[in-house]
Amino acid sequence: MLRLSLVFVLTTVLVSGAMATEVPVWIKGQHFQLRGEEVRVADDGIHDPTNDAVNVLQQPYEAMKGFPRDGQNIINWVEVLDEGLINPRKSLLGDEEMFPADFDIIFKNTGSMPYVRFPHRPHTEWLTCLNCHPSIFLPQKGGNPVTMSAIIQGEYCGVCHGKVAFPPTMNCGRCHSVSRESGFLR
Amino acid sequence: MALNAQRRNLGRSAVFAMMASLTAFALPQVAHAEYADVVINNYADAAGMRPVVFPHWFHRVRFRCKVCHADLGFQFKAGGNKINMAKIIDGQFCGACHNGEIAWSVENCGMCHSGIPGTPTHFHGSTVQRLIAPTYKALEKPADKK
Repeated sequence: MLRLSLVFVLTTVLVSGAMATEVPVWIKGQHFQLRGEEVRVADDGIHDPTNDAVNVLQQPYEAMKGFPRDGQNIINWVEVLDEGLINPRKSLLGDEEMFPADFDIIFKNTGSMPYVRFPHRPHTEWLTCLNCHPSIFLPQKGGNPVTMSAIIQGEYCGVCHGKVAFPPTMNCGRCHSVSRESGFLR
Repeated sequence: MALNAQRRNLGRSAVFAMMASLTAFALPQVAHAEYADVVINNYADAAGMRPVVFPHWFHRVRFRCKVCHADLGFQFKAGGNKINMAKIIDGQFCGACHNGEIAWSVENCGMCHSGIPGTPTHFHGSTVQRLIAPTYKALEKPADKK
């Protein structure tokens, strides 16, 4: 019986080992610390826990404690900034101003999905015009053949959304926010 | 008596097996790193250093995107900036702040070079990483054999 259990243990260890080697830890995983989760930097799967300096680094759950979250329970950085919970510098020394542009673009070529409203205002609180125009988006109406396929592959909106801004595979309604029946004309 | 001993033995070994398999599965098999952490390993592994982990969340709390991505010239691409220590010490890229004046300076090797050795350059948790990159990996395998 002891032998049987040993065989069982060995197979489980081997199988789990094989599973771990097949897909490296850094690929698999969950990429948002959801509300209530506290994963230390040293335990996050990409930092080396044998590196003592890791213990000096700030913990994400401390830095982002109480930050507002969206419908998918991930941090809503636009609200974080609007509510004044953070005041990130606008230049290296913080002595420059941002130039927020407050106008929306409505994308109506959205199949059966609600139209997309692109608000310039929250984007220009973080970025300058030149970050997006003209290299990612031509500043021209209808000049950008944006598709979900391109976005998921990291083009157009996907240069940021899906890497650092909220991902295109969650939160459809944060972009597709204008009802097709609303008669919104632009 | 013998039957009792056998039962006890069976119970013990079952408990042992369960505990051992639980420990095996409790080992970290998925990463819990924060969304938008970037691992940069252009040169580090080859130079015998741990790869760099850049936490976006830490920096965006303190600076607008524009400061690094417009003023300092960081491309929107993981590993795309070809940063090396000479450039940093020269005040370019990370070195614009990490100079002991705005942020801590380059003597703190392990605070940037903090990743698990062998981790490739990637944008942690990105949609491309999760949905597109694994497909590319699988396609590259037959070519390697030639």
